Amino acid sequence: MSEKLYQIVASVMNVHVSQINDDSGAENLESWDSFNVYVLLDEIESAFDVKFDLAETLEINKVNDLKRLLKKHQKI
Amino acid sequence: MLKEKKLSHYINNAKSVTIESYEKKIRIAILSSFTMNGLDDTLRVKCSEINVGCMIYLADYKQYNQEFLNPQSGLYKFNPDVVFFILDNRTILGEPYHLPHSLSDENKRNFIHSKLEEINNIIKIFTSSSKSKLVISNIQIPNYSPYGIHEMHTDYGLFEMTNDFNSNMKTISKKSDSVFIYDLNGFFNRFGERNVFDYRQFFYGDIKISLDYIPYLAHDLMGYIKTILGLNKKCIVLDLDNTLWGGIIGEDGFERIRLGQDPIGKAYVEFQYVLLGLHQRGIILAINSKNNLEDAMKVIKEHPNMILREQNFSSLRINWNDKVTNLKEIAGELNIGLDSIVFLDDDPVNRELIKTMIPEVLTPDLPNDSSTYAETVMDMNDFNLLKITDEDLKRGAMYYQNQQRQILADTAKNLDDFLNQLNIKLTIKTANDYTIPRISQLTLKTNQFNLTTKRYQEEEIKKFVLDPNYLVGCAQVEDKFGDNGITGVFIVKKENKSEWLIDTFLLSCRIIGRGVESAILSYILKNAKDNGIVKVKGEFISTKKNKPCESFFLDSGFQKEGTQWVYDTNNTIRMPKHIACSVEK
Repeated sequence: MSEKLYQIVASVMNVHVSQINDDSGAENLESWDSFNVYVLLDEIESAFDVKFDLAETLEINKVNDLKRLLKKHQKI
Repeated sequence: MLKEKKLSHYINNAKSVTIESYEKKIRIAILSSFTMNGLDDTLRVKCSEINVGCMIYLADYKQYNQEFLNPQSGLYKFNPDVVFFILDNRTILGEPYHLPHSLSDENKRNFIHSKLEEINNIIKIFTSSSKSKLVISNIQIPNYSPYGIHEMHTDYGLFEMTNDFNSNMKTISKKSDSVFIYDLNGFFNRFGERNVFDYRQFFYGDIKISLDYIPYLAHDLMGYIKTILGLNKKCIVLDLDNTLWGGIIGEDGFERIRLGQDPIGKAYVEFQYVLLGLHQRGIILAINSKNNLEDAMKVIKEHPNMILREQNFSSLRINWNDKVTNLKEIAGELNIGLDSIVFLDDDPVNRELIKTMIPEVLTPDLPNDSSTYAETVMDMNDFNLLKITDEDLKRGAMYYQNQQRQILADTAKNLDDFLNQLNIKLTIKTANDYTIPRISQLTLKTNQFNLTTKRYQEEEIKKFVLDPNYLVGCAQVEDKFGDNGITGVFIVKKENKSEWLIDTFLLSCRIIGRGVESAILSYILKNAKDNGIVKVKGEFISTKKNKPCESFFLDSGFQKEGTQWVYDTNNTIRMPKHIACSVEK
């Protein structure tokens, strides 16, 4: 199931999917800025049919955070 | 239903858009009372999709007052062609948005009027120092009121404050020719506040139109860009079977095609109503269908549930020829460019054929489900005009009359006989408040019979009218089949006591070849002579499209002197015999 998540992150951050792993995030992706994170969230929420709390969205700094949240909401 | 791509698609594709490769360009400024990131990238990509290079100035949000009021601001330095100024209800209504109870009714009214005064001031300052068009949004009527169910019984409640603001915005915008209102409230209505407004995004970054909906907003704004650049569509060419009605007339027969009686049939009626609405706004309709003419015409003329009738179609190609040839013939008959045509056909094979063979024609995918046809057309942003003139409203009827003229031309003994039978009446009119919008429109869009192709906005025409050194006029052409409306324009510069210069001389393409151009020119020459003018000079500025008038001066007896053409008014001035010309003061 990570594959779908990686695909979305790669397409929003405009990099090849092979460059995406659980540690991809603000520290190592140039396009991961505060605005793009919200663009990413919008797409993940519609792709996985989920709605995160505001507080949850503020915890997201890398792909692993997204994974954790999706697991918490039982979407992966 | 319109399904937009995700915002990330636009953000990422915008990186590879280059503007240099496009001939048409536009400079767009975006100002707003909240975060609008992503709109710039979306517009860049959407413009490139229609071969327009766009340069965008995205002002820091909430800086709109400084941008508009300071003549040294980035906005004025950018020199935009169009400004999109997007407002939101929280910014405009301020604290009363949440706490309307804190103010008395009178204070609420004063508050709204002070806000309107601010906007009015911005408009005044901007329009006096920039030629750009200004598109301002109205504001969304909130879906919640602190008055609760009593909102509807409150004298001047929250909704009424918002309505009052919006309706006064409309009044303010009407005072200027370059200011237009974008119906942002309508945008929220269409998609729903609970989709468009996301509290998390609002708290996170003052985003008041959620990122998913930015591409939809851009789609709406493209409607303005297309019409500003003259890329709006003028004509819809329609298939018949399974497009205007369900079933195939040649196989199912008059009694069994589906049109109105059952749910499927009702979808086609709805679709026809939408098309008729566009037709009444000035969009030309035509038919391109493989059918027996007789079978199809029987439905169009006699089917009790047909909404569109024969007189609504300006050109008919109902035959067994291929659709590409038919479509090109329709464009020729109507004298419009292929790039101003939309082709609607339920058959994906036909659509693919047109897309491949005539890519200039816009061929949208019509979904399989006929219940979505109406929405598909309503979602298109290609049919807009910033100003609708009387001529636009009458256009459909005019093209129908043209068909009747063609029948006369085919049966007349010769050209003179045809022209004589037409009983052409030409009325020369001065430029005034009623004719100026049309005069400007004709200078902006006439390409073929246009000697100098100078483009003038309404404001510029007004300046000519006020200047005693200019003569601005237009010509209305009627004949026995009907009124063609204002179809000719001339602007003459009175250079000195003995010479006039023709600055602009144009004729709408649909009346070329009936001697009207000669009659208008004769009027100018005679007018010059009456004013003691010896020489009337003119210029032909060649463009890609104005070949039809390249020999006009020569044919009219002008002599070439350097780059100019000159007529000595001591020569005879002839008015074509078949035209009755009058002058309206």
